[in-house]
Amino acid sequence: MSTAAPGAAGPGDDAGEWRHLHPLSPLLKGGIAFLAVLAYIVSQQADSLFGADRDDPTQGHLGLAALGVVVVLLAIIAGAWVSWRFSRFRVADTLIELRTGVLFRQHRQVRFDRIQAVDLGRPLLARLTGLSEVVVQSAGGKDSHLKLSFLTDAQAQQVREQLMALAGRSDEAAGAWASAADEDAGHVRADASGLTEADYADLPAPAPVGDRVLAIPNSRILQSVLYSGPGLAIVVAVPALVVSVALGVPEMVAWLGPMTLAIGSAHLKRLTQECNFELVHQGDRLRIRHGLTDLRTTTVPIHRIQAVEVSQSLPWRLTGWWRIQVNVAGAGTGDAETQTVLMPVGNREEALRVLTLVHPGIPRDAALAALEGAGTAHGFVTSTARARRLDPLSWGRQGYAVLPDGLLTRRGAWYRAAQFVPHARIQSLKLEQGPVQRRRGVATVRLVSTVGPVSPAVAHLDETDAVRLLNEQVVRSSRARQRA
Amino acid sequence: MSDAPQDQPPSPTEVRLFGDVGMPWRPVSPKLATARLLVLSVFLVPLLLVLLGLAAFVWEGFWVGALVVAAALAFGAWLIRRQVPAITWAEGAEELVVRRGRMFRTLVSVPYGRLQFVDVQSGPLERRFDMATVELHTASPQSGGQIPGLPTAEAEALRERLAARGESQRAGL
Repeated sequence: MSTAAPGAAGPGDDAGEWRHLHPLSPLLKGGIAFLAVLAYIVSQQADSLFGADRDDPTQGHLGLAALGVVVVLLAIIAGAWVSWRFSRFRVADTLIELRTGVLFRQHRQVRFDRIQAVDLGRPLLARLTGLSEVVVQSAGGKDSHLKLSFLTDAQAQQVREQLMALAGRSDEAAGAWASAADEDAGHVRADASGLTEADYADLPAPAPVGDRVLAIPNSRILQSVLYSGPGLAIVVAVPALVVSVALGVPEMVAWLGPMTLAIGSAHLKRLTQECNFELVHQGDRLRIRHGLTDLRTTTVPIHRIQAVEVSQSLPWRLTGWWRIQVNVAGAGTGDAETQTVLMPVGNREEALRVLTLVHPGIPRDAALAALEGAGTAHGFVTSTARARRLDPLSWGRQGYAVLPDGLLTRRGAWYRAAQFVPHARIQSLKLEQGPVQRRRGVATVRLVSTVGPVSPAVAHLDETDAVRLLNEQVVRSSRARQRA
Repeated sequence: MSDAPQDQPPSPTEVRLFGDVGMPWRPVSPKLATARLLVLSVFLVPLLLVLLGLAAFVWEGFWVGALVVAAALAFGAWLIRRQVPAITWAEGAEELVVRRGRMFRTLVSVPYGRLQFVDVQSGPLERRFDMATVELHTASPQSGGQIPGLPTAEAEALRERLAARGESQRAGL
């Protein structure tokens, strides 16, 4: 099989050869549906073969039916082969390209300096066959991912490492990148084109360097899911359901059943996503591994993190657990929500460790004040006492502190949360004031970040404080952007 | 990092939630109110006429409906007359600021360096009144500001200026 695919003379440079995905990919993508059809056909035929089925659906034309099945199978395999033949990718000097489709062709390119994160995914079926998919995330909004599914594990690792090495450069340092690219070009080119498919098939995965920051035991993940309002509700609801079924109370089952199912499935999903959680720090990037059946490894360059939030729900106050989520442009727009979770559950020390890993510029006492403190200590500016009517519990806590690198905000007396946004990462600022707020002379400031679970805001600041924050932040952000 | 940013004086042109002080605030075209009134009446006036006709010739109960629609029309007109002058915008040294609302006030400040692209839209009604809507897009879908009812020439000029400024102050994500 030739490694140089037809039509390789595409736009762009000659670095990197077009490579094919793994031949099994189309079948795996069809996946479970294909297996189900196959199993159905086989079971049907088995019945008639062994003569157990009296009214034979083929009505005696067993040979014809078998022929039909074979034709269908051949057609599927041929279709898969064609689709495999026409999908190929290559890693060029400045971008990665993927061409797919026979009738409706698609050609997708992602420039290295636009890569936000790289995922390595192993769904159950792929895991059984030793394959992985590589998902390259860019910030193009909905469906902006470039998905290489599937490659062998070793290939996937290699592509990931290659992409991360190239994407590690921030686009802010555009000049530095250009010169570095010149230096690296030779070595990268050798990497990309010196190997053919056969060559790197048995290449050992590069040794993972870096230190493991977090490894959450599964028992704690389970506990953390149960230690939430809905989780506790399930613990109560399931026995209640069993009892009501046993006693034969249909009314109870009618509303308890769907409720338990709905909440339970959401929590089960969270459980399977967050199992086997591990966070590894590798130089300028973080690698997150998680998943029970669908094992995923996400690699995020630290400078791509737009905002970070540490939060604690009321039940977690008892155990002192925190959760850390981040905004990464392009991530979290799909269904895989856990890509934005840096720490599903952890104690205060672990939370501080992860926080300072992401933003080393946060002093420990300021971080502690943001997590658990209140009042104006450590440079915090909080809501005024005039907002007491609007926020009876949290007015003394919600506020912000200006750090050299970014803005630290905190809120919530019961559901505690603290956010940190680097000055240079604030997209825009919003000031809001409703009629009641106006009468009290307070206003809410929102620091708009990219799409994600973190949306930092400071509610009910004194009007002059709010306007001052807005005015000063514009200058600070602009300076930080120029410095970056 | 050592230059503590909070020590530096704020920008010379201050953003204020109200009033005309600080920045060079500019209103949008007053024709926007006319256009919005037109849209409102296109929907409500025929309904009102139908209800009046029904009330006069069919059943007296329809007077209530006619009254409600008339009240909605009056309230809408009053709201538009109040809201349109409340939309003001200003170009600062670093950012574009859009204020809107009288009862519920919002102020959006979009730094030029954060602009990803700028949309200028103009529907048939807007074209008739020689107006366009300028929409600012950043990397976050929720953060862009929108300036409705700018005179077309002004909208085009603003777009050009924003493009030039965005290019010179551009920063990565």
